[in-house]
Amino acid sequence: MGPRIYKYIAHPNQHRLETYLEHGGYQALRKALSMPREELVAWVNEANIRGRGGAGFPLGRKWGTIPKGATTIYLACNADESEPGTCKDREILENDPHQLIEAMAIYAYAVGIRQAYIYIRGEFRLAAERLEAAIREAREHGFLGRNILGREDFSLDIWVHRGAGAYICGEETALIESLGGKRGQPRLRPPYYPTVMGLLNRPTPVNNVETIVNLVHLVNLGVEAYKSVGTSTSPGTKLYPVSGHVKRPGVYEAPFSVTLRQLIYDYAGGIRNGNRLKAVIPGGASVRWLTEKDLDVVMDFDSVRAAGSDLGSAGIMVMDETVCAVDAALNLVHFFAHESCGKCTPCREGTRWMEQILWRIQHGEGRPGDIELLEDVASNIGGKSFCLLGDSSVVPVQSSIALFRDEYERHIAEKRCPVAQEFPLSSPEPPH
Amino acid sequence: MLLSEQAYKECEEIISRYPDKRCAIIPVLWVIQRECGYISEEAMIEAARILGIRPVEVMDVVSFYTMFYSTKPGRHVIAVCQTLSCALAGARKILEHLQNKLGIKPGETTPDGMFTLEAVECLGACADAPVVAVDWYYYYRMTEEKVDRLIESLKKGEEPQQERRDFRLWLAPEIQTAERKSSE
Repeated sequence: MGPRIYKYIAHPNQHRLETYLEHGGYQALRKALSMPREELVAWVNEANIRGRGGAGFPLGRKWGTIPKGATTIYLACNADESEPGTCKDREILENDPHQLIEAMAIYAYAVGIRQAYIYIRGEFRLAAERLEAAIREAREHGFLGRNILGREDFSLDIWVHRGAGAYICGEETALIESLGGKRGQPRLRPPYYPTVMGLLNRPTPVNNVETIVNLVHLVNLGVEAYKSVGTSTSPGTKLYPVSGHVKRPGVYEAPFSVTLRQLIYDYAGGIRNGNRLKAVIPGGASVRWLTEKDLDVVMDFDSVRAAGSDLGSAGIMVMDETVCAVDAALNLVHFFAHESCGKCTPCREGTRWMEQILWRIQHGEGRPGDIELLEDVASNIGGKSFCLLGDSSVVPVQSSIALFRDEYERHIAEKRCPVAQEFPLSSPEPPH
Repeated sequence: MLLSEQAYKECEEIISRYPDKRCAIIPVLWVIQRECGYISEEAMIEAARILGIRPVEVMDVVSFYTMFYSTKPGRHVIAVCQTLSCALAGARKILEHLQNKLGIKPGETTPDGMFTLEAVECLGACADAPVVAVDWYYYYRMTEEKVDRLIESLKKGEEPQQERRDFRLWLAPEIQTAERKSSE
């Protein structure tokens, strides 16, 4: 049957230990502790758990980069979920926090970790409160703390570390900087690969919430059953948030073998009001837009990449015919300009310039040559900035121009937005 | 003393969670902002003293993160998400409605000190757009009517509480079918 991360997410008391135990909680931890650490590591490699934060990087491979013999290793769980369109981790943090705690304990046991931090974005207030309560419960019942479940060789402390409003802190090196008490500005790799030189220059693997919780299911099911759903390169299930112009926006768990068409039309009920699909962003603001012709793409990492986009965070944003491509690009570029950490010039200045040009085009002040100017600015940010935020910021621009260049041209020629929009997607005030 | 004795004890406990004192800057600032409502210059100097670092290092952090306030905000902070999924669901209209209703622009506080209005970026609740957070507790699928009711309840002195959601709104068809079948 495969894993079911969201199996108990709707139960009103799932966040309490008593209910979590009734639903089979902490059995995976017990089972894991009965296995040699090497066997757990082997399972993780065989199961090919792909990272669910946005890169799809295999968990086993990440573990393999931790220096052998390292004695002080910190685990940082990335609960900074901030990629536009992505709202899947929050459900686990708020409604099933023990699943994360149990999974982190399994992770810590396998890798040899005694201190773990959950870096949770500051806005997730209820989730932080629920996590802290769940951690207290877990400690009281011997699932955390010293000598877990009687094992003298296994102790673990998990601390909730709230962020304070910065998308860039979801980038793993910036997260580590923030955890270290600094501005969340990314670090250079090499040498600062988190698994090699992370917090206080100790190995600090950083992994997404959804990635980590998969460990509970892997241990409970065993490798074969875990891999019985999904695809050969992306086994298991994925949480797919679907938002925008669908009848039933929601977060749907499905095997990786599901197609984009199935997610939009079967799970989310199709486009609202019988409208036509204009474009769909399959994996958060940082990935290329797809259209009607791409709907049969299998929603696993390698298939979406082969189709010219990326599964990313799986934040699926559906846009129908009432959407103006320029305004949508402007909305996302505004996001990146706002969230730019400021460290490197191409991103800090370039995102602001792209926003200014897009705003003029959208609000009737476009000039001939503006599209070429946008393309030129974008080409000097993408691939030339210190971290992926810069690369991400140009994607909405390049993607919307590639698909809807004529729409841009009409904005400029007619000196207005020619699309009959239901709602404006940007401010009537120009950006500063 | 800037903080309560309880708060100083809390800061000490927080510092003990980390291998280095400096890691505790953000958690300590959260304690200070909870106690004082915002982070003043005096508070930054005090935080530096507690952590054994320089005030400029504290200021470095405070100035970077959007959720730390350097002036006292209103009794309630109303944050309206404006990023794509919420924008597609009408978030700009919700923001404008609040601007008109409260008589302030984003970034401002009402003269009576009750509400600070903020236009914010993706809050991570996109499937329940448009989203409004009051003191960082989330309210989902907002309409102008829901906004009006929310403001009324806050004016009456009710504390914000994250909205309970109906997960049935999400359930995929085959689960809905299975549930219907099992109840037949």
